[in-house]
Amino acid sequence: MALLAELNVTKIGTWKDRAGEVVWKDTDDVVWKGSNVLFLSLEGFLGDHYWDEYIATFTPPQYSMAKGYGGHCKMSFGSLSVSPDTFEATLWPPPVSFNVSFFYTATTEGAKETLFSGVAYLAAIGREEITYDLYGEDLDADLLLEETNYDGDTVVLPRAFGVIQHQQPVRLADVGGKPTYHKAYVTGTKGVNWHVFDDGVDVDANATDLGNGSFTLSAGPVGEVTISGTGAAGTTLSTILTWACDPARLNQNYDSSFARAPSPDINYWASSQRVLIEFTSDLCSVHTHLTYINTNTQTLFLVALESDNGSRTLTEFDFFAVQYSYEPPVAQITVEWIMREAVEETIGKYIKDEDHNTFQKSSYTYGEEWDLKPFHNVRVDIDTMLSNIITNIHKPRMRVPLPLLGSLPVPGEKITLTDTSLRHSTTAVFHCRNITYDFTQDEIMVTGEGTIT
Amino acid sequence: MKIMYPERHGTPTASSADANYPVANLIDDRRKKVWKAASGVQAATLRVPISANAEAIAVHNTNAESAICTITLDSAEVELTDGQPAVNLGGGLVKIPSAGHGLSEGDVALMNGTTNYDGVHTMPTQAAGDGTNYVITATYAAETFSNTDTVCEVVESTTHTLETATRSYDRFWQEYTSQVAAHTATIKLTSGAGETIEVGIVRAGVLVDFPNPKYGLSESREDFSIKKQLNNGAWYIRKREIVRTYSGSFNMTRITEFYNMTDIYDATGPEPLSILLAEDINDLQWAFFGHILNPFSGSHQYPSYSEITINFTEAV
Repeated sequence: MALLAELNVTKIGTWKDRAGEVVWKDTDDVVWKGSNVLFLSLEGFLGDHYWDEYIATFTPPQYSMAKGYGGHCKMSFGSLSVSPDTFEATLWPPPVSFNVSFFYTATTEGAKETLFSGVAYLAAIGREEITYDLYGEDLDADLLLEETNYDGDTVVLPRAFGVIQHQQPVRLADVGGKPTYHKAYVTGTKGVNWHVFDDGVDVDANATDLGNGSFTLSAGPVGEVTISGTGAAGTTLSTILTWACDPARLNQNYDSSFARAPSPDINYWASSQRVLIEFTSDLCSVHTHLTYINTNTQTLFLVALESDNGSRTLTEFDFFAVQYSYEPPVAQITVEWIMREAVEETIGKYIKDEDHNTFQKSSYTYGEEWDLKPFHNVRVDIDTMLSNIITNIHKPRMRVPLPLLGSLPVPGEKITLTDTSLRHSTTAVFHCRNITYDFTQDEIMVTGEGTIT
Repeated sequence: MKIMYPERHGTPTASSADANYPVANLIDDRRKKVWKAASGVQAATLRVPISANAEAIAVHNTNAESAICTITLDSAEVELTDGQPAVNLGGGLVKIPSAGHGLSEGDVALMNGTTNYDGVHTMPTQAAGDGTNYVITATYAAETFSNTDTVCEVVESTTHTLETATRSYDRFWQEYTSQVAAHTATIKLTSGAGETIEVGIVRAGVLVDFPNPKYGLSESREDFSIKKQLNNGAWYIRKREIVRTYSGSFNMTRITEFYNMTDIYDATGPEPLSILLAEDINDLQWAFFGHILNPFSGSHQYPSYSEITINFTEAV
């Protein structure tokens, strides 16, 4: 498998005429076409043109699942070191930054597939190597938008995911002299699908939906204004990821072919700013799903940990020595959450925070105790969630090095192998979670949980 | 042993080239980075300009099965007459228009640039020729020449058979009479069916002569392949580049050969050189383009001779 790198150093180039009087420099809109695109490889590649063997070292790219029981499998890249020959005198000193794309191919240049596109930033200039740190296309979209509130402060606008009850919306600047609130993206018709409360008293009759994501109250509230309803992003993990992949956010195609059906419900009031992909990663992990992005097709895949995102069966001619391990046992996982309820007590009606909790024990009482944050508020669903996690984290872990041949395994892919090198012949079935593609050593390291028999 | 130093070649031209594998690749230091003819072209001609005093040319890493390398003096090159046609004289003779050609019966000349008559010709009787036309033995094909078509009396021409019934070679080494003026090597290369002709390295230059290595020259390979043991003990193997390595000792006269060697190494260091490791045996076998990666060591153990040990590693 050949690794190819295309370094587009034109975007930082400057040119001047022979008299040295006129200097042209690339801008965001104007790039000197056709100049200084460098084609590199690890060992020289005879493709449609020659890819110079100037890559000295290349940190293996790897998918790493956020948590042992799910989350986003982020593709990370470290650094690229190239021979000083890469940069001729006209490109010396080495450019500080340029766009770079990595490809791999088992056959021809025409069959190459994109492994990574991003930016290389100069880290070190040495006698033998020039080293660049690699930065991917950031999925830096935020979970929440920001706006100026009633007090003139910039604040985040909370967002409802799934069904929320009695959550406090952000008060915006008054409209028409009336108190105005952000709807937190609850959907449907006021009074039917969503409701407004003042200290727990339904004041739908005083509320007017402005149709722009906010509502006004005809009279000043006497207490805490809250809303209840269902978020526009949907009520399940899958619908929320559909929303997250929108061009305005992660800007990815979305594939849920191997997600759990029905998709786990989500009821969550998001009121703190986070990076969106980290938020969805947390959603996925507690519901024992993973996500990963195929940069070649710009597609985000949602895969349940128990699903087979493709499969392959290996013979002992197909893998190197396997390592088997177990994570430390977990004795108990506890979850606490708060339900906001409208109650009427001697002091009158008000919104009360009611604490809830549940836990799941394992059979390993000597194990660790974990606390998890749920994105749900229905006990039976949370118990199911915890049960899935406990089952998953006690599975054996396989760490299997494979030759870098054929199609590259992806997160969620099921691998079956029989290992006769142990005392007794052992069959391992597991799903890929963390994957390292080491093009310099011709090896793929796959790690995942499964079963051994 | 002969080392080609200093080099005297310029940038070659080619009758055909893949735009992405230009002739400039012929004179870089990497055998693997080749010049290629256009896709599917099995026969192509390289012309290598060489400055005065060179006496050898070498080609490395080619898939050619045969090569005809012809040396001509640039000063002897004459244009064919622009716009004039070849004339069929019958009897297998063709009259070629060229003012001032100076060719006589028995002369050997190289024609280049034509569509139908390129190659080396031994002049037949010139009875039908004159000062502005010469006669060659050829199958007639109608052609009108241009002033980029040339004829030149040949200094030397050698045919190299690189693929024999028992072995294939990816190189040749050709020595010729040292030329006191600028000259050109015209190399006609032919590859096997279905292949596109390609060459990795061309070098031409002066030869510095050394004695052959002492008995016991060792030859090995440096193998960049990846080998790892699979779970059942079998091996995963990905073959990558394999290059030749040699290690040997030489008895050299100190005042000339030893210090010639030091001069060469001081000038080139580990940069690759074109070398004939052992002469008068089989040039195809012993032609080599590679590095002396580590400084050689010598001992001055005799009054006039020094023994040195050199390790050679072929360039990738």
